[in-house]
Amino acid sequence: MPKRKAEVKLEPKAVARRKMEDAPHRPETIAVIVGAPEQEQIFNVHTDLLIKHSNFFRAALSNDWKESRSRRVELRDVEPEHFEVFKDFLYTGFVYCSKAGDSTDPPHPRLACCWVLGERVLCTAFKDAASDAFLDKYAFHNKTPLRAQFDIYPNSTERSCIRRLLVDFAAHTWHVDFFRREELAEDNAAFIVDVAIRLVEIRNRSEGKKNLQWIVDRCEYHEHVSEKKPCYLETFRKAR
Amino acid sequence: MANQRQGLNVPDIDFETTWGVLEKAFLEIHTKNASALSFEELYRNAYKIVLKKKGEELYNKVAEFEARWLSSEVRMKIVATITPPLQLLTEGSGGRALSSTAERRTAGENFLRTLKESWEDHGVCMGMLTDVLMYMVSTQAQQHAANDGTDLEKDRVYCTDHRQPSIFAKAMGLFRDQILGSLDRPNGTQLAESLTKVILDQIQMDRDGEKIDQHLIKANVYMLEGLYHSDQEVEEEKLYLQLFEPHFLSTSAAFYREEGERLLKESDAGTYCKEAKRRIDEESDRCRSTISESTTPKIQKVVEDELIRHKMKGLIEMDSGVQYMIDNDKFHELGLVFELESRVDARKPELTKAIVSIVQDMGAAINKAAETTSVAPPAPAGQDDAGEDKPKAGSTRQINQQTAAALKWVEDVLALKERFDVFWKTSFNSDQTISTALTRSISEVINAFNRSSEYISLFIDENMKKGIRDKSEAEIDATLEQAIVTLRYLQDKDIFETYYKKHLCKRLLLKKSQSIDVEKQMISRMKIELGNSFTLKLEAMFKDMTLSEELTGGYRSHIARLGQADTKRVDLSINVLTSMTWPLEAFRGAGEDERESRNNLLFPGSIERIKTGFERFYAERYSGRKLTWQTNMGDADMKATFPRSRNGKPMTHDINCSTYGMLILLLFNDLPTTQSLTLEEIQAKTNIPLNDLKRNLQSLAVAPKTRFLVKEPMSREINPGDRFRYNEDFSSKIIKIKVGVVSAGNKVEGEKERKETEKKNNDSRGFAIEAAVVRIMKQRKELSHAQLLTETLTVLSGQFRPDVNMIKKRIESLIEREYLERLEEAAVPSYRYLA
Repeated sequence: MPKRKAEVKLEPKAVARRKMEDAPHRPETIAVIVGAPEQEQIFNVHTDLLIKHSNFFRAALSNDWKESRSRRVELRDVEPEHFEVFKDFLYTGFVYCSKAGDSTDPPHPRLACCWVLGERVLCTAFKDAASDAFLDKYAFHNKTPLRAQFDIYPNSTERSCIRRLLVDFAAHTWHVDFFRREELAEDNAAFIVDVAIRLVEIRNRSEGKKNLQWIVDRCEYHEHVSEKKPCYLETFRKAR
Repeated sequence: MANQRQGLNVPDIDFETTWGVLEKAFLEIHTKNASALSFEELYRNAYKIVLKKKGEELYNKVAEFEARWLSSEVRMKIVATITPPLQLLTEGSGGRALSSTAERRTAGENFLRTLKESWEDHGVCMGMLTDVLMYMVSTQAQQHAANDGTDLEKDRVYCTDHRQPSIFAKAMGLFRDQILGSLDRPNGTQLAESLTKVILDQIQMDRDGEKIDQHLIKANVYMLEGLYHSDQEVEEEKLYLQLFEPHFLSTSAAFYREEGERLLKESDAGTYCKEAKRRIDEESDRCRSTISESTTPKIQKVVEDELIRHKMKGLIEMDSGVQYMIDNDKFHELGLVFELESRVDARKPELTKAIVSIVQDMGAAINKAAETTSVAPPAPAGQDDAGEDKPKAGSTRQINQQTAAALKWVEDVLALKERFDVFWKTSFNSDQTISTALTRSISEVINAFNRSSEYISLFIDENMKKGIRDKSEAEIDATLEQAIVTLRYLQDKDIFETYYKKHLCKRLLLKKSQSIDVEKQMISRMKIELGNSFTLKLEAMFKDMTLSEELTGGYRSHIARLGQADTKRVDLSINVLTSMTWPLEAFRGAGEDERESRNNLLFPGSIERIKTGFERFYAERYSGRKLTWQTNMGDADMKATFPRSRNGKPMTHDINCSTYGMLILLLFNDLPTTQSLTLEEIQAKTNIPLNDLKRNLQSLAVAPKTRFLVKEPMSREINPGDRFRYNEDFSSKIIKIKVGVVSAGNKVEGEKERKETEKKNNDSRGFAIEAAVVRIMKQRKELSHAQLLTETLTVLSGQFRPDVNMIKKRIESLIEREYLERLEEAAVPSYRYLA
């Protein structure tokens, strides 16, 4: 498409001779079948987008695997709802994550699950977008995520950033009562340990180097107080 | 309750079962049956194992699997290709001789091909495996990154200890250990070693001119470049650098050492250069096409060392070496030699040395030839070579021979320079170093010849007198430029100045110069080349000439105004020369003592009249100046009538002779034709110095063509008591007769003259040195001896190169005369200027 039309003269031959192979890249799509067989949905997604953003799709479609031959990828353990968010993100760069009139807690589609999907297909961009959306939804609306850890912890590795985000949320914003919930105690040891560590870190940070300031009087830890006797330091003073 | 809340179900999985699935799939991948496998399924299995924190176990399992696969299937396939010819090759030194090239080539290629294919398969499979294990890989990387950033000491120690190479790197390491590190058979050689030997063998075939499969070797080299000595993958530990390159370089060095020696023995230098260049190019091509580009500089250095650096001297000194090339104008070959040595050393020491010595040898030959010709004629071109019985042409030839030797010398030197300039331009790429060396050696050649100053001046003289007669302006220009070129190299410019002045003086006074314009051009060229001070006196000479012309004209009109329209009056043309600028001794004969007597010449009345007339005229114009008449330099035109000259009839001739000759002839004007005069009488009547008188009488009474007088007795020598009378029988067809004036032409100096010139020159050098020393000391007040010497040398370098002893003597003399004094207290010998 010439910018300066006047200068371009198209020779008829030049037009006719163009080879098929030289034509600009025509994006092709592949079918991604998502969800258990009874509730599966088929998404047709442009291959170049998938390959560009997801290492999983890149690998699946590059070598001589079954997927690259059939141009179909099955993701049976993913819920279609979350894949849709992923797909829309690929095309727009936005995370579309709230539904009108949805009152579930946490609201659907669940952002934590979106992050897990990002982890599953190795798409860093989507993971980070999901974690930003998560922040927006809670921190900037003064809400507290109470259940995201149930989705994140089993599906992430120790050092993942999303875990840090959840832990910071808990350490900074959780009310004492939230820790007393019964459901938290079940099978959440890793999460609770992380939060505890974080709390200690926060405490250390706020108190700086004056670690020993909380020691007001050694005698607080001495038994003589309860026996109403003088401290050994007193009794041995003359001898020493 | 918690599980129900999870979006993705991760049911508890059994590691062994899951690994079983993966292992089966991996086997399929290795046997190239991947197309039936679902990547998603395999990836999911690996992903789940990692989520269950079994990543490490998975890693180990995969490594185990790969090791097993490589050590059994792959290794077997490769070992099978090591056939007897290769075994012989890898076993020892004699291997190459024991089997035919064709056998070895086929076996080698077979081996290389299998290895290459195994390597490539391994790469592809590992690529796919890594994809499957991508989740494991990415968490591993995350872990490493996190560990690098951790602050906890304990953590760090723990993690660095346990850092694993990526699974891909691990697999590459396995290939190295299981394949290249394994033995080809029990107690055999390592496959890596065999590989090196096979490749080297193939390269040797290539060097011998046989066809080899370059891509095959390149693929194997590529493999060695992709593998590292340890799993840490340090750049310097590439297997290529460790296992292959050193062997390649050392065998190449050995090969080229031998090749170079063989070539030096068997072929000529030109061929050697071509061959060396071909080999160097060939080796860099080989690096590009067959081995690795990274080796190019190293192998080039090896080849350059073996074929050039270590052989250059031998090459240059070969029978067909540089000397031969220069003798035979082998421009291209010389260019090759130059190019070769430029490769290894920008200063090109060997070639420069060779060129310098060749130039000096050729120059020495030229100098020697000039010396031989100048000495060859037994009679030195001295004072008694004219006017005797011996035909005059003979002596002229002798003079010419001398002069010709001088001219030939200059022309030869110029030709030598010209020749090497051509070499320099065409073969040596106008190289700066060689240019400097050439300049230096030609300068040495010129300065090694002790008569160079005189010869160069003579060369100019000859050209001014004859050479430029029929030449176009451009040719004259070229000739002048040539003269300047030689002058540029000349060290003793002061001696040259002496000679030039002398020669110029004669040219001007005797009107031998073809063109005053060209003379002036020459002077202005010298001015540009040698500076103002050099040409000052020469220019003054020209000025004197112009002034004299005006003076003569002025005198003539002065006479005309006096109104004496005397037709018989003698016309006078005069040159007034400033005594300091003109080397008047050039005209002087051998005797010094004659100077006084010259002034007392007895002139006949008519001549005496105009002499005093002019003296009066001159004194009016310039008061306070003293005129000294240089009668020995003048000449006269006379009309003389001989009664039987033209077939017995009287004829009047125009005679041009020296002033002395005129005086002698005028004596006979007043005598009856039969009366004669003795030598003593003539001398008494004219007061001409005896030597000059004898010489002039020789021209007038002995030389056949100008025998105006008859001498008795008739002999060559003029002896006391000889009688002379008017030759009534003189006859000649020529109207204008020029009496040969001895020592009129410029010629090579005789031994005596030269010594004189040298002595004079030494004197003037002494003055120049003293002047320089005083100037320096006046400025510096105090100076050490060594410094004073160097500064004096620098100051005088434009004129000549002073002898250090002479400077020392001059300093001594200055101390004696209390211009300087020695500093007693100084650590090094020093002087102080005494104001």
